[in-house]
Amino acid sequence: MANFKSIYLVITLLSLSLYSHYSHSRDLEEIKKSGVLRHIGIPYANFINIYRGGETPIITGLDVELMKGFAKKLGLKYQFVEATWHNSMILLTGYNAHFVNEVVVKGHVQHEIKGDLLAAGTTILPWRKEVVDFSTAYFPSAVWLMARSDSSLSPITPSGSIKQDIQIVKSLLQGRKVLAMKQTCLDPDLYDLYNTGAKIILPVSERKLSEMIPAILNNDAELTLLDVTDILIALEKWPGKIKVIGPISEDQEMGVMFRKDSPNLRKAFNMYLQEIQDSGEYYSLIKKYYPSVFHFYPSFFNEKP
Amino acid sequence: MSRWFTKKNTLVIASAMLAGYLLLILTVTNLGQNKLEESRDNELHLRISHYGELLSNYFKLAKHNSSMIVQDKAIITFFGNKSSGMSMTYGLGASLFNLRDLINKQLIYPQDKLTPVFSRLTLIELDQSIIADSENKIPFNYQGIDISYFKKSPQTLFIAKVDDDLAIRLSTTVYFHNSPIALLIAEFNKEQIISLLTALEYEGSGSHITLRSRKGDLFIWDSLDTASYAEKTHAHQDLMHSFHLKEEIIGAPFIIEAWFENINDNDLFTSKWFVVVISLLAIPVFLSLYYLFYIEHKNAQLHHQIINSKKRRKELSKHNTELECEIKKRQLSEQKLAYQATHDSLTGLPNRSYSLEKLNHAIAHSQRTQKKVLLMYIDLDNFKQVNDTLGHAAGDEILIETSRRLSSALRKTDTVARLSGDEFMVIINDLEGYEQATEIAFKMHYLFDQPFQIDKHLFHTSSSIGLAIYPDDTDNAETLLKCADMALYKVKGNGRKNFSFYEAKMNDEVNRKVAINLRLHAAIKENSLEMYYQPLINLKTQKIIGAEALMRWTDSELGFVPPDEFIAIAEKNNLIEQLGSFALNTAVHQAAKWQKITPMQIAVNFSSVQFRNCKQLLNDIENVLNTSALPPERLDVEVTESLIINQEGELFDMLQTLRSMGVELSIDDFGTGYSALSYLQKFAFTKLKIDRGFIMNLSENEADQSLVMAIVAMAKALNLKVVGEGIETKSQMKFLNKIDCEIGQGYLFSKPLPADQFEELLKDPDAIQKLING
Repeated sequence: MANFKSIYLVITLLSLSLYSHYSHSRDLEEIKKSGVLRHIGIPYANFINIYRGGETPIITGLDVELMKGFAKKLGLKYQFVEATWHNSMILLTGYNAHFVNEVVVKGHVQHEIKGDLLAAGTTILPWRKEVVDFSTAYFPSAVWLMARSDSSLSPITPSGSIKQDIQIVKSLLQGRKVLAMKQTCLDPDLYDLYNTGAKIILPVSERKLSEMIPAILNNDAELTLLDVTDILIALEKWPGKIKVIGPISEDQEMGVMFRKDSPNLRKAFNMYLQEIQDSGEYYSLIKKYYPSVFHFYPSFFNEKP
Repeated sequence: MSRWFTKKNTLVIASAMLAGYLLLILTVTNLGQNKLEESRDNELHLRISHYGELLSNYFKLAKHNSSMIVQDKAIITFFGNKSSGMSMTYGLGASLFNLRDLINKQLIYPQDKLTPVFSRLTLIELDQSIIADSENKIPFNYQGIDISYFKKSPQTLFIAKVDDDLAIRLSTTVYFHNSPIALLIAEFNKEQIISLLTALEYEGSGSHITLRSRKGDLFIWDSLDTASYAEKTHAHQDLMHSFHLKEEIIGAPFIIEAWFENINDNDLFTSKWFVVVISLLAIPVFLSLYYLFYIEHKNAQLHHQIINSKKRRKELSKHNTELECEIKKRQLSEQKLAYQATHDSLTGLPNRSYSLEKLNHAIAHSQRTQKKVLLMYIDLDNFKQVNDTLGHAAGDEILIETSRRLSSALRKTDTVARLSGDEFMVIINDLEGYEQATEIAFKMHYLFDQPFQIDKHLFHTSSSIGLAIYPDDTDNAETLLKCADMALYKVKGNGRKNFSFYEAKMNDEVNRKVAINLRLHAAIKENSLEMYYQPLINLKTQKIIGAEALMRWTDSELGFVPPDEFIAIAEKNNLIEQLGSFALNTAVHQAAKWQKITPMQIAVNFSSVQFRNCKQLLNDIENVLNTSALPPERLDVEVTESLIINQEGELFDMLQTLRSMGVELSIDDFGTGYSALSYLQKFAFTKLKIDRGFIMNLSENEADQSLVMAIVAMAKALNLKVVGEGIETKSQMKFLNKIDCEIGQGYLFSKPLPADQFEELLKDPDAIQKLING
């Protein structure tokens, strides 16, 4: 664990020393001039799916459709910029930023900005808000603890209070191997998991969130953190093989990330979002990619599906 | 083909076809009616069994469908998650949501046209609690649901009575890890069942269908003509609706029961009525055909008559045309004949008969006008020569040109006619007198001064014209013609190329000729002709060496007739042969007698006419030589030059024969004819007699002397003996003697003497000497 921390520190320091001047940020006006809206995305759940079967990859997903709609609204060409959880912030802002030991570490080396916004089902987290601005929340989320079905842990009986349920779940983690992932919503630091006595296992190589369940099915760990959107998919994919133990986080929300110096673009997106929510187009999109999400978050979606 | 394809035949064929057609319709209708009933029965059986099959398949499909639902991932996931103890709040809720979604989806078909198979789907746990229900408002009715029974078998189709209505339901057991865990109760959509069982029904199909089960009946359809729908569920047992069918459904506890209307009562025509209508229809059709036939028959008759009449008219018209044509032809032919009868075909001038008619008219006219008529007879000189040398076509040309010249020179009132050959006649009316006649005669005469052009040759001719005047010369037409003819004859006699008016003495000449002819015949009969002999003298010896026999005739009426006159008449009147025969016989016999006195030659003259029949003449000569026993060399045949001209072949052969016999040949009057000296070589002449014309002026005329000398020289060269004729003086004799002319003849020696006197002379050897000197 300490190794990881020191590595991140070194990286941050290096970033700070390698300050450069070629970052190029732009707001709505410049984007409109350029004629292209560059969407930074990370393959994740049904937000961004990249299928690489043919010559050119097929990129679909809720966020892809949302951004394509937004680009069309602005009268711009849509361009997808693929990223990972690790470089996504750099591609958007030109600077690296990490949340280490409950502290945001910002890089000082300026990199080239490759995109105008980041939409990949990113959870609105306080540390992220320090680095970037978020749009109005457009999707609900949460992080639950998942186990293989043969795990000795039993799903908790809901107490009626989410906070109490989180406590119960956390109390069950003592000595258990829990799979988590830094820089994502599954970052153990976010939920103070190191203090639960759980054995936090971070993947050696970079891993997608959708690969968490196969990892526990592969006995890499007994348990894993997983966001609800991925859980919904996993439950259908492996019925009877996995089970939800209980919640790790309180209800979260997702938002599109903007550079802090692109307030107009953010504003324009919020207006667009409001428009498609009013017209019902937004709900059709949600229904298309996450049909059961309405059942879990009726209050988030004011409209009943 | 076309002969048979007449209107009549067409009608007959049409009638036969129509009758056949009607019969066929009747038969087919009857058969069809029976077949229809049969097929209807079959069709209904088929329909009901089809319904049965449809419904059976429908249930089978529904069962399959239901079993597919219970094996769906959503159900498996739900029960899997549930069995792992997951709470609704954390995870199981999502699975339940998906499960409910699955169930709800079964009732919504993307294709709107299809009615959902089930009307309600309910998933119940084995403890009867409901997990999911497609219907939220109406509570689930557990009537007929026996869970402990149903869970034993995968699927159960059952019927339940719910609120006085039948509910057809299907229970499908859900298994988890091979154990029954829940039941999916599916309620069938009755509308769908009804629509399946009425797929082939329609308003007016006359049917009633009910689906029967032990739990009760399900009314499906009724379109029978029943009084009220109160009887819906009742069977239609009356006769009207007596057709009844039943069909069991395989795989479901149902029986389809159906009633159908009897086919005989349907609104189809029964065959009986159809037959009646068709039969009735046949009557007007046959009547109209008969009427058409009748009209056609009448029409054909009329048509035939019209054609006949047209044909006859055409024939008549043709006949008329032919007749008209024939009439025209005949008229033309008559005109032509009339013209030909009165006109000369070559020149187009009036012919002899027509001109005589005209002459009569002219005379009659002159009698009224107290004027005279001039008649002219015109003859072309030497016309025969033109015909002979240039041919008849050239002669015709001259005749045509002559007629043209004559016609153009005269007035229209005058007449030009062609009498025959080269003889034309001109009639001049209203003649004033003799002077005018002379003028006209000159004018006519000069018409021929211009030469005639024939092809590229110019031919000169002249005319001889005889003229006579009425009433001066005679008082009738016929005589007038004779007068003109006589005048012409006279012109011709006088050497042609002139004209002459008729004189009264001309008539006397004619009369004399006629008299001579008559008397000559008589003389021959009476043998009153005599032969005289003139001695031929050897000029050197002055002895008689022969004699020329000469004919003399002294008629009792006419007195002495000169030989030239009567011989010419005899030649014209075919008496010459008799005269010639007489001369030959008499002279030869006489000479034969005289041979005893002294050898002498007898010369006999032959007319050229006699040579027309050479064979006969040769026979005569041979005969007379034989009968008289005169040596042939003592006979001298004298001919004139004119005989020789243009005569070859037979005459040549004959003369050759005579020469071969030994008979001698002499040319008489040498130098007067058309002398082509080549004949002297050609014919074997022995003697040549110089004409007296050359001898006559021999003493005074030097030219004559030269000629005679030339003739003698020529004769010598040709080895001919020469006779000098007409010696009257001694000087003539001397001259001839001097130039070696061997023989002389003439009055110096002796005139022609009768036979007895000549004999006397012959007996005296010095007689000639005496005569010369005497």
